[in-house]
Amino acid sequence: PNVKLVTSDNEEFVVDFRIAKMSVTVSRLMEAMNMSETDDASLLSNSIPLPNVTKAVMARVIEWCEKHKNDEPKEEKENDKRGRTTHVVSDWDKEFLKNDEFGRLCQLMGAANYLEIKGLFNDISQTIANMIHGKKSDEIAEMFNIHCDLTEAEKKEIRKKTAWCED
Amino acid sequence: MTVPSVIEPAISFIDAKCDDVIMESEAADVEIPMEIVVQPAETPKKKLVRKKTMRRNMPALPDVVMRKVFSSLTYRELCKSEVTCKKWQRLISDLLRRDIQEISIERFGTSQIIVVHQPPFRRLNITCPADSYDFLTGVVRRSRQAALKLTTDLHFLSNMDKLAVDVESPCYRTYFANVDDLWLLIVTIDEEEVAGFERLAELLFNQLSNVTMQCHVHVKTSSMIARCIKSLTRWYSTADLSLEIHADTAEAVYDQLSALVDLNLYKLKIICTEFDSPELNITRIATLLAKNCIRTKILTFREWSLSCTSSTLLTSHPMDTLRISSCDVLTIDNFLKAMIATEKQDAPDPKKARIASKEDLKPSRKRKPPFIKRFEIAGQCRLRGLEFLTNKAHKELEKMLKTHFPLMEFDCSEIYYFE
Repeated sequence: PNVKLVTSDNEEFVVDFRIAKMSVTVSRLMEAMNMSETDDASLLSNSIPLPNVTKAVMARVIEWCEKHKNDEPKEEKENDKRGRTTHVVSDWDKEFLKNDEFGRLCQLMGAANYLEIKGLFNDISQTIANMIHGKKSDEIAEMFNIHCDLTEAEKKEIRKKTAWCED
Repeated sequence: MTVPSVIEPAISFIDAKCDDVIMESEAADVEIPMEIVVQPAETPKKKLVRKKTMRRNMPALPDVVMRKVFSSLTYRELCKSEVTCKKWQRLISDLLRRDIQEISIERFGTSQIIVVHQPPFRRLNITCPADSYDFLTGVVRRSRQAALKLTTDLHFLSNMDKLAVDVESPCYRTYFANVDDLWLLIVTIDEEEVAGFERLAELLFNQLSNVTMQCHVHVKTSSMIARCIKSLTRWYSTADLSLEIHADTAEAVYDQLSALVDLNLYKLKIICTEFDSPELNITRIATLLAKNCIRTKILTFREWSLSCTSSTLLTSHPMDTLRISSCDVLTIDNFLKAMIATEKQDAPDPKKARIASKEDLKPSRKRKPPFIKRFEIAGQCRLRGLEFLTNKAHKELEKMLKTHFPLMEFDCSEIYYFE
């Protein structure tokens, strides 16, 4: 059975019920609209509006979901040797996200967050974290396009404390 | 076709100032893949095109996303990210408050700063040169409220006033308001550190529950260590204090104990650092403790050759546990006789106890709780006098203890023998 998803720019995507279920948000909406896998009429007569996702982003999300629809729910590996939470990004996912420039990655992240697709969310956050690895603080600020709202004095103060890590 | 005006809600745009947005006519309708095209409903003929540069199309990620990203960064990376903006600063400081409740600072003559953060254990391990005051300022500022446990050397605490950390303001009267568990390591010590510690001890913590001092003692340093202990007990008198004395000679131990006075310890652990276990005399230790009014609930000896004079006291104050770990016991016979003498002193009137030996044998005699409640012997021990029994020696010891001290708990199960 198929489900209709409608993006903010009014594009309709028809996806398999199982794919739609991968998003916690969509699955919750379907429940609220009394749509069920066994009731074809309910699926045909309704479509799920997703006002926070654009066509371009949605296509990417669905591509990811298609690839991962048969995944076993996997255990989060809690910590690496440094003790930080590390999510292992699979090779396919690395390839999938490789060509996204940072801005597009952020949009995809926004969508994964809104749609509550945990696997994709973890993949992207780990990819973003990997991009921070080895960067200096001004490079990080530039990458995230952060408008610095710290005063010069505050900045100087913090820089002094964090001088050790900028090497 | 109806077009929603903007994509906003979850994804908002930072820095989207008017001058960054260029109004273009339909002629500019070339497809540039990276653009985000927004079509305002009122002006269908014109397009608001955000420039392709990173600056223009960067959505601010929601906090939940940034928290997730931050949670896979190292402490060093978080410190770098902290400099970027107030919002990140707040997110990172929340994260670190949650993930660091224990700080451990080591030196060992290192020349560089190494930080290992272990969020599952909520622990931050730091190795840094002694004079890394700027770095330490940052660490203390980030964690001074959240830290519950601190492991450090004396130098760090004695030089707290060199850090740019405020203890004058009404909300911060101490450096570590919530630390209640302190592990203080003294390997080297000098006059300056002791003076610094005496000056600052009062300002370090609000209240401590547990303090362990691990002191590597030498004859030269015993009075300085004694001064540190005195400062600690002066300001944190309600804390359970444990003292670990690490020494390579028995003389250093005697010397250190002679320098201490009026102490109520939770645990006193005397550990030998010399490979070939020099001889340490329990009788002498007991005499020193009694003379200087030092009491301890638990007394442990480790890696010594332990001797004691026959029929003298092992302790003159009641004790919860006496533990002998990996020691060479220089004659079990002497030790047992000393133990008997120790247990005898428990009678309320010592004179009466001596005369009433006949009465002692009467079954109606009310049994007194043992003077040493529990005796443990563990690790690789040599029980001189029972060695002929090889690996059954402790069984014999158990039997002897049971006969003489029916009410004493003892545990010889952790003992093992070298083949």
